[in-house]
Amino acid sequence: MAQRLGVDRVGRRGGERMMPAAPRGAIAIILGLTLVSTACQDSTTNPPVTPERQLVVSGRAERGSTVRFGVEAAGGSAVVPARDSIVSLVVTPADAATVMADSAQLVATGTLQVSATLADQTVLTTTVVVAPPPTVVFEGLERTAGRDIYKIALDGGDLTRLTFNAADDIQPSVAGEVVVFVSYRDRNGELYSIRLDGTGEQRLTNTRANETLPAVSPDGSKVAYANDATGVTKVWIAARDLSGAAALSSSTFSSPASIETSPAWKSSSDQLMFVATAGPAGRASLFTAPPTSGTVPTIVPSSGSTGAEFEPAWSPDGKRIAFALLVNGTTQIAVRDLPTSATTQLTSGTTSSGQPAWLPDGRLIFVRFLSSTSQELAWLDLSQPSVVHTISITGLAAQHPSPVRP
Amino acid sequence: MTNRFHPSHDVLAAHLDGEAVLLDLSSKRYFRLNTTGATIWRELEAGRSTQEIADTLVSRFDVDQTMATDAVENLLAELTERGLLRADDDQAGGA
Repeated sequence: MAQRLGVDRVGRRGGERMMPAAPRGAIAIILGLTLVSTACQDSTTNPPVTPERQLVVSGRAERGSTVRFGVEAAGGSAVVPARDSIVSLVVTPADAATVMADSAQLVATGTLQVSATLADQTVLTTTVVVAPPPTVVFEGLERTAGRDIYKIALDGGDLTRLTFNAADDIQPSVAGEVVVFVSYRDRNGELYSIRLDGTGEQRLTNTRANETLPAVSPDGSKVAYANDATGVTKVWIAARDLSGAAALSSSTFSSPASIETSPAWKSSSDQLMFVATAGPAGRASLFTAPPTSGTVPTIVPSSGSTGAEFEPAWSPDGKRIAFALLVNGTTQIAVRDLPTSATTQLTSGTTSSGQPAWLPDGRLIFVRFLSSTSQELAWLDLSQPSVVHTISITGLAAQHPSPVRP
Repeated sequence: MTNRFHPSHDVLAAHLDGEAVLLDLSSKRYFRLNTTGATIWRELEAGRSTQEIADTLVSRFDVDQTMATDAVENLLAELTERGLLRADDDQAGGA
C-alpha cells in the first residue's frame, strides 16, 4: 500500500526554483509507524512549472523490511509521468539501508534522509523513521545445549538466550516483563518464570504432575496451563503465582477421557480458548470459557466441522482467531472470523505449520515444521498471506513463539 | 542403545479404564494403547528403565521374562519411530 506522506513537492529542475504549494511538515501515521516528510528549503517566489510532486514510501518502515519509493502528484491520484521515474536513490546514513533501484532494505533503526533523483533531474527528499521490529520469545533447540528459552527480533537480530539449564526449558509465554515457561530440570514438567532480561528465575510449581503449555493472561494476573495430575491432561487456571490452582472445566463438561490443552487468552483477559478432544466425533476442537474454575466451556461455532483444530490464538482485537488446522495429514495456519465463522486457510503445501501467535500490529508469527528435529519461525501479514517471511536463526531449531507486547 | 526412555514433551496422555489415548501435539495425531501398552506408558512416565518395565509386566500379566522384554522393546521401538518417545541421551528428541 502506498503511504502518502502528505507533504509538498520540493526540489529543483533545470536550475528553476520552485515554491512548495502545500503546507509542510505533515505527518502520516500508518500501521503504527511514523513517516515524516521533509522538504528542501526553497525561498523564491517563482511559480511551479510542473505539477506538485512528492516522494512516497510503501512498505513497513521497520528494521529488516524493504520499502519502495515512488513519486506521486501531491494530492495523490494523478498518474505519474515517465519523467518522474526514479533514476537514483541516496539514503543517509548510508550504512542504515541497502539501496536498490527504487527501494531500500532497512538494516538499522533511526531516522533516514532519502533523496531521489528523477529522470528530469528533480530531486525529491523525504525522511523515514525506521522502527525496531517486534520481539518474540521462543523455545530454541541447540544440538549440544538442548532446549532453552531465547528472544529475538522479527528480523533475526538481537538474539538473546534467557535460560541456561542443562535440562529442557520449553513453551514460553510472555506477559509484560515476565516469561513463564516449562522446565524439565526436576524431571517432570514444572512451571518457572524469568524476567525478559534473563534475571529473577523462579520456580512456580512443585508437583509430581506435568504442568505444561502455560499461557499468562495479558493483564498478568493469571496463568492457564495443561496439567496431567488426574491422569488425563486438562486445562487448569491459577493466579499468577500459581496459588489457587484448579481445573478450568466442570466435571460435567465432556467425557473424563477428553484431553484439554493449549490455552490462549483474549486480550481483555476475561476469556480463554483452548483445545479439547470433545468436538464433533471426538475431534480436537476449540472451546471458550471464562477464566474461572468449574465452568462449562462452549464450542467455538463451526470448530472441528472440517478437521481437527489445535493451538488457538486470539487476535489483538478479539474478533478473529488463528489456529492450526489438520489438512491432508499436515497442519496449516487458518484464521476464523468469530462473528461470521468465515475461515481462511493461510498456508498450504506438504510442510506443516502451527503454533500461530499474533504480533501486536496484527501480523501472525508461526512455526514451520521442516522435520522432527528442525523447526523455524516464520511470519506473514494478513494483507499478503502468500508471502511468508522466515526468521533465520543459525544453529537453532525454533518453536513456541510468544510475542512481547509493548 | 539406551535403556531409558521418556515420553516426548509434546505428547499428552489420557489414562482411563486401564487403556490410554496419546495425543501428539507435534504431529496432531492420536494413538490408542491397550492395557499392556498403557501400563508400559505409565512406567515410562515414571522414568523406569526397559528392564524395570519388563519386570512390571511379568508381575502383572501372565508372561515370562523373555516375552515381556520382547513386548517392551517392540513397543518402545514403535513409539520411538513415531516420535512419541525420547531416549535419555537424545537431546533433539524432546519434541
